[in-house]
Amino acid sequence: MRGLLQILDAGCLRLDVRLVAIAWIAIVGLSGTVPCTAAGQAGSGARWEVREAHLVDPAGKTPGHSGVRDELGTVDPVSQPGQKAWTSLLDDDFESGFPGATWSVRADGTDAVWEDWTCWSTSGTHSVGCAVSGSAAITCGQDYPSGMQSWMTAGPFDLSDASYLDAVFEFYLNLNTEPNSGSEYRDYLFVGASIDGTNYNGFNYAGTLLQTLQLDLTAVPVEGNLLGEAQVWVALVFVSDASTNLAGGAQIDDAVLAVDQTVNQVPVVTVTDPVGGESLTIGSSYRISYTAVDPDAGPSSLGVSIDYSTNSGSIWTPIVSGQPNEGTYDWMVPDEATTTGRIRVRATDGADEGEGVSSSDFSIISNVEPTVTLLSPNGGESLAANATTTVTWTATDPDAAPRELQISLEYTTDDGANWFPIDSGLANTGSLAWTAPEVTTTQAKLRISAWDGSATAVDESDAVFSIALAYSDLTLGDASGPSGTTVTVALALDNVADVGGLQADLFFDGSKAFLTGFEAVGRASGMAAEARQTGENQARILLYYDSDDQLATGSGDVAELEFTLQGPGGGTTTLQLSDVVLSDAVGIALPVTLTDGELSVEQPQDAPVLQISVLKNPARPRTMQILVRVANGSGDAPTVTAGGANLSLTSLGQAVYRGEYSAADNAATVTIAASDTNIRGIGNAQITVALP
Amino acid sequence: MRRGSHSIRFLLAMAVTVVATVGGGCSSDDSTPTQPTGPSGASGYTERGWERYESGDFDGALSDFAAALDRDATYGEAYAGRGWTQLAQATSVSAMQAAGNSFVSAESNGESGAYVQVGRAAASLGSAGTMLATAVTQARAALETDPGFVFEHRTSITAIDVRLIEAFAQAAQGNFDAALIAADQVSDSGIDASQSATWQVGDEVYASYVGAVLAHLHALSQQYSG
Repeated sequence: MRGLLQILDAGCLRLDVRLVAIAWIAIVGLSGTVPCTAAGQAGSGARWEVREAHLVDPAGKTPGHSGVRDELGTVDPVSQPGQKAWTSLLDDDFESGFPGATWSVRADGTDAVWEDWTCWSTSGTHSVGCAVSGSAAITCGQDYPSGMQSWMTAGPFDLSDASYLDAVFEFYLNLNTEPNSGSEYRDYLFVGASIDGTNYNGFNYAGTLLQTLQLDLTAVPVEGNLLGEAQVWVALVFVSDASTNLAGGAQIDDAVLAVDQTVNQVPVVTVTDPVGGESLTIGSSYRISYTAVDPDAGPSSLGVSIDYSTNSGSIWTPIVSGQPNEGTYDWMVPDEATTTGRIRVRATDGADEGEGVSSSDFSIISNVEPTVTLLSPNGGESLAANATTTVTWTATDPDAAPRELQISLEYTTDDGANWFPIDSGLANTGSLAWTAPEVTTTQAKLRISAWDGSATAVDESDAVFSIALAYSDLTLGDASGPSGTTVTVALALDNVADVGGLQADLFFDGSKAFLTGFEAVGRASGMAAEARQTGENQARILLYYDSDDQLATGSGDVAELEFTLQGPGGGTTTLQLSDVVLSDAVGIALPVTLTDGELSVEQPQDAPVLQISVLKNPARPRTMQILVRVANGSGDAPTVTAGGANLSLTSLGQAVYRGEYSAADNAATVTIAASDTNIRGIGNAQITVALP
Repeated sequence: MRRGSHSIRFLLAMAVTVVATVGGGCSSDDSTPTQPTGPSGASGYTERGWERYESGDFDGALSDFAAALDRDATYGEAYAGRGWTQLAQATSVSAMQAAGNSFVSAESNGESGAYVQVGRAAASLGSAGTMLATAVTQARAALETDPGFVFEHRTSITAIDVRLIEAFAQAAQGNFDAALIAADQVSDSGIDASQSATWQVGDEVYASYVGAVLAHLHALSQQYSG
């Protein structure tokens, strides 16, 4: 027999019902238990039956059973990778001698035992018959003897492999026995399996039958599924009673015990770098690239091992093993020059290992170190902080290997005690625009490194150079004029970077002047200008853009401040800038130097001029605020009277003074008078206010 | 403000008094004449205090507001009435401060509304010094509470006066830009700090921006204050 036949579930036993039962069969259970019956009919009068049965080997295990296992190859169809496949643990066509190492035979009763013969076969020339050997042996065409219990067993077979999905014992049967009579089975063939080599469970067959039979080892009567059992025996036992014997009895051919299992697929590995032709430099890091795929993704995740060879693969030296399947590995190329280098990548899925090898030879060569020279700044230069300067160098790598040069730059401000990175991984372009740090030092140097992937060349400035902060200059001009007049002071800016805005506080002697105007001019005329007196002696000015515009680097006047001078004259006041914030394009404060201005107040040209404003309280008009403004004044508070009484005054700045007055309930009017004196004379003002 | 129908209630009380007087006259020629019925609680004294305030009887008003507070020291409206009366009589900074304290008491006893804020703003303006900033704050708060403010008990005090209080308080602190903004809400001066040609009030041109602002405020004061 070659080939497992498709079986259908026929209740308790799976039988190939495509085959035609050629004779009426009766099967009788020896154990007396008949739990299940299957029957079929082919043609008029043809009938067969099969029933579950239990048969105990009265002699126990026979010597031939223990430790015997056949490896008889596979059965058709040939399984494909990844597909369900049948593997035969027993495959005997009885053409090579019987019982051999596979079978054990024994007669328990009449001395007639199984043996091969050529009276009938379904393939080849031989089969085995139930009474071919022994003292009561028969020849072709003779009736089997009475009182037989002829055993033919094989095993044990190991069905504990977890990959087994199914198991079956199959053979071709030529049966010719006395039929059963009702529930009584007289002569029959028992087919069963055992997990102890003694107690067998299976089925009895009686009658005439010529077909393939299968014992499903996953559904053995009583035992059930035998998959997972480490020891399984199968038995064919021919039994006859005392009378009515027929020719041949039972003849068996092409017996197979097969298991169904899934075949593991071998991982597929391809080395993609190096593939051959490359030159790897000794001491450099080389990235090995590969692909490793396990088609059936198991039973375990892939583990990768990498080897190299310096003789085209004759001898392999391990690089690494047990790596995860990451597709790359950075290999430090060994000091073993060769022109026949190969890389091998092996990947195992826990069951099988696949491998890939560089498709041709690569070389391992010695590295030629690069050279680098820093050209500038190379010492003696004076650089401006926050300003851009160009760093230049030359760097070469004679063998241009193992990789293109990478340039790194650092600077020091303490002659090499500490180094700070500028940039790294740069291409070897020969120059770099560098913004010097915001420091002041005379001990600066640059250091350059050129790395070819294996070796590094270094150079630094031959001598120190200097870095100095770049300051913008903010300068207030001077102005002078007679007390009581208005003068203009220029605000100049020499900015070394673009400017977004300016804020500054301005301090001066408020008794001599007060700020009355502020305007952006010149190159800053597009800027908004705001100013306010924040105290008697101080003001704050703002210059800024309402847009994203910037005041470009340059110099010249950017604003004009207007002051009104006051006081007796003959004095000066410094215009002092303080808390200056000069912002660059992104709002960062720029360093700035300040130059103060000065106002000179000359003697007034006219006598003081006074202005009186009376602000009556709307809810109580007899109480009032009296504000007196003085031009060309003495610088001191004027003398103010209301209703004849002197008022106490408070300076509000800008030559304005405040006093309070409350008129009596019976007063119809109140007269307020104010006066001030300077070198030119006395100034007076008087006002009479009506009261409700 | 707990006010509203006190004028009507006053007329009804007077009518009752008249009826009682007439009735008494008719019932018996030798009986003792019936006395008019006076206020019986804080509310009643407060109502009569306002009536006296409106009539210009500030001393009588002060007496009634004091009587109201004698009966209920938590009667906020009485504090407000006392404040407005003190304001009407003030002839000194200390008197203004006393009025201001009354308005603070009114607020702390639950009295609220623009008329309390205006009163406090006016008192703060008269208190000068550090109270000027409070005058600005209270004036702005009053206008936010009631942009069309008219003081019920003295209808000559309106939102215009509130804006002037703010403007004058700003000027008294030297904040001439802010003073001009508030004053221009009453009457637009056309004064622009950056344009000297606009530094004119009436027919007079001023040499400085501040001088023009002060002249504008003075003119508004003469026009609207008293």
